[in-house]
Amino acid sequence: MTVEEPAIVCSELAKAFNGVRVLESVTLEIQAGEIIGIIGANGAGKTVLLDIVSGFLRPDRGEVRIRGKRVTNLPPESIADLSVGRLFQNLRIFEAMTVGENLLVGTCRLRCGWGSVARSFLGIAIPSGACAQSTELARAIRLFDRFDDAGRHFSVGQRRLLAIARMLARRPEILLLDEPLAGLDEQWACWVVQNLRSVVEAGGSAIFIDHDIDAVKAYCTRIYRLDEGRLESC
Amino acid sequence: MNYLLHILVLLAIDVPLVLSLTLMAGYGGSLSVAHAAYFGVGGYFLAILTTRFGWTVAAALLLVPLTGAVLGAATGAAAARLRGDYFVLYTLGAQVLFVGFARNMIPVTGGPFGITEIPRPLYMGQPLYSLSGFALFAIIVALVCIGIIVLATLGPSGLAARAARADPMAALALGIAARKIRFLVVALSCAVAASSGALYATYFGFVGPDSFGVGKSILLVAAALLGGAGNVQRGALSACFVVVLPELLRFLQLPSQLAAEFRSMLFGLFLLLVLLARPGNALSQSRRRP
Repeated sequence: MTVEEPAIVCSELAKAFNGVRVLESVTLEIQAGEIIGIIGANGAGKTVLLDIVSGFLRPDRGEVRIRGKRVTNLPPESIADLSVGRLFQNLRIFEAMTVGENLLVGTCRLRCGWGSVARSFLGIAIPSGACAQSTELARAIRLFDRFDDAGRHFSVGQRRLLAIARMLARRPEILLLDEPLAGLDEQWACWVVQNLRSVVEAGGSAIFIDHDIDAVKAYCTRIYRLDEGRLESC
Repeated sequence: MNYLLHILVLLAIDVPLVLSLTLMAGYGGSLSVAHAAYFGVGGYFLAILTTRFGWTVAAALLLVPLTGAVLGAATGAAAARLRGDYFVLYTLGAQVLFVGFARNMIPVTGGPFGITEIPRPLYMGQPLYSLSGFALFAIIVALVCIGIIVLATLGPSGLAARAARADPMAALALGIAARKIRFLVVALSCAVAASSGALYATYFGFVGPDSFGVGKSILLVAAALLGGAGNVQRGALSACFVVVLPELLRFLQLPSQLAAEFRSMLFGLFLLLVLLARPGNALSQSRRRP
């Protein structure tokens, strides 16, 4: 990672849906080693901001740079390839797939170029290293005993842990976390924060969205409030 | 014995064909009702290359999958943009277009009379007219096709395709190029279907528009769904069932004038009953947990 380049730079981002302004001139810079907390009421635009940074939405105005590279028009999979991990508020685990398979999707670290996609069709089996890492992650989130159970059979908390483990399996350096602690008890919230800190201490960075201001204050280096589309420092 | 070998050849044609649709539906997330058309393109292409340009069957068989893949790539490009009902309608259009083309482009396809006298593959310089020899040849071609499908489903591509089908947004966030994967799955599926069509053409020595109509496509969809789209083993079992059942019904002592119609009706009725009894996963060992 280039030390000089900020991990994420959002410049003058604006987004509206059907004439309703959700983001208005949002500017944000995140350095390596930082965890930025963003709080705000429901509908304040927090998730929209993460969707723009991760490529799922295009801003009406402004641009996003990740480590100096302009990513505003890149598709989400190309942004993920820049070592960006995204945790969705509604988790989005692969419900019909088993715990093991959910984790393998992360541990295989598939890339999105045509060459990589074509090569994936020639692979006879999943790499053994990916299998071993999946097993290790399943043990860490205490789902190893249910390794072959489909994702739909789990509670919200277990699904959240699975989604987080799946995201971490790709070893991302930039984390975009939408309410990562919701529904988790203290023990598992600590596990998540510990992993988050490990990523950041290794030179990574994170955007952490939550409603719980105490949690955000406890874990984040800087905190912003998103209110009526504007980002204000807290 | 010859009858059993004939069934074996039919299985060698239909098992990879059904599996190719299983691949497209289960891994590409795209249910095609034009699979008989891709099957037919392979058949016609081999027929034209061998009867008009003097190619050997072996040489034509090498080119046919590429043709299927190119056509599949066009479908795959649509599959990358169209989902669900829209993709089904798109493939229905492709199927109707194919049959119309085959029926009306007489200089190319022979029109309603089709193309006849398609040669058999050569073995030691002689056409392979022996049924046992042809069955062996067909099984080898089928095994290559099945191997390609299994390869695509077992490795990382299979995992990525299932993830992209299950939740495209989550897959994209994990760096999976969902559109590219779907595109390649559809192209591969069409290449295998075209190869099966080529095998069909050289076995029967004839191709015509009625062999590759919508009815055949619907039957293939039924077979793919019967096994539960996406499961290769059950897909193969389902293909065997679809080939063998009409043959078993031949042994019923039905009046000769009505035998074919009765067989079709009984087959349709049986399929309905099986699908109603085991919706979504007709040949599975056990029901899914609620």
